[in-house]
Amino acid sequence: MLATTDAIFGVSRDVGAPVPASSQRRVAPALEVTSAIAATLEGIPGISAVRLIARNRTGGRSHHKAFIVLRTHDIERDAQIVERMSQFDQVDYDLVPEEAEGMIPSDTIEIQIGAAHC
Amino acid sequence: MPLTVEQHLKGARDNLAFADQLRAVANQDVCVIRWAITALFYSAVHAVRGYLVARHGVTVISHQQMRDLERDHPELMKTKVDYDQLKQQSHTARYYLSNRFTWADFDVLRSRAERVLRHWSIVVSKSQPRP
Repeated sequence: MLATTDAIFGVSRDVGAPVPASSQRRVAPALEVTSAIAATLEGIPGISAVRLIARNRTGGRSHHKAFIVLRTHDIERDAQIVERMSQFDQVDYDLVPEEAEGMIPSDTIEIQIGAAHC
Repeated sequence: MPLTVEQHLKGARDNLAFADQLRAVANQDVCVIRWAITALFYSAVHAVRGYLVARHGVTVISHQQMRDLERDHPELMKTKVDYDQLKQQSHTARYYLSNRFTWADFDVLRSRAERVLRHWSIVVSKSQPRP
């Protein structure tokens, strides 16, 4: 199920400097992004893994980089991913064919998007 | 010297034509397909940049700047999904050297590139003063 637009944009805005104090106390921005990406990609077939480099900077714009590893080749499916991910304005991402997974940096964290959809 | 509107739009048309030339050869070498897809993306790049010069007088020098401009100029959302699809697939082709691409994929992506070029060409032509 796609996360609501409000939820996604909320995360996008929260990643940068003006994060509400209550939100800062509740959860780290990277974790919010992780959850939002997981919700956004849930249900899309052929994704074998999603890995994230969290880049949080104080006083400036933060960027995160996600690597969406694809088990199958389907550019119409990819269009669905692109459309959903376009709602994040502070998350770069790559579509990585599974055979190139070794090119993903090792300092990434894995995002669980639900075993049923992997 | 920054490129003019006309140079950008010609670049967009030339890249699309170059992609078609590669398609016409129909070489099954996946490297050819990857570069044909890359040419499609750069057609879209020049189409959008031509519009930004024409409408806003902005010269785009990086993909990051392009992302920032998307926030400032919501009309860019008209072609954002097509543009991002071309960007992602050409990135996968160039950097991850994906061997999965086919000419059928190219045909799908070509329609997206053509749509981007057509949209911004029309917008630019309507905004240009008539002689």
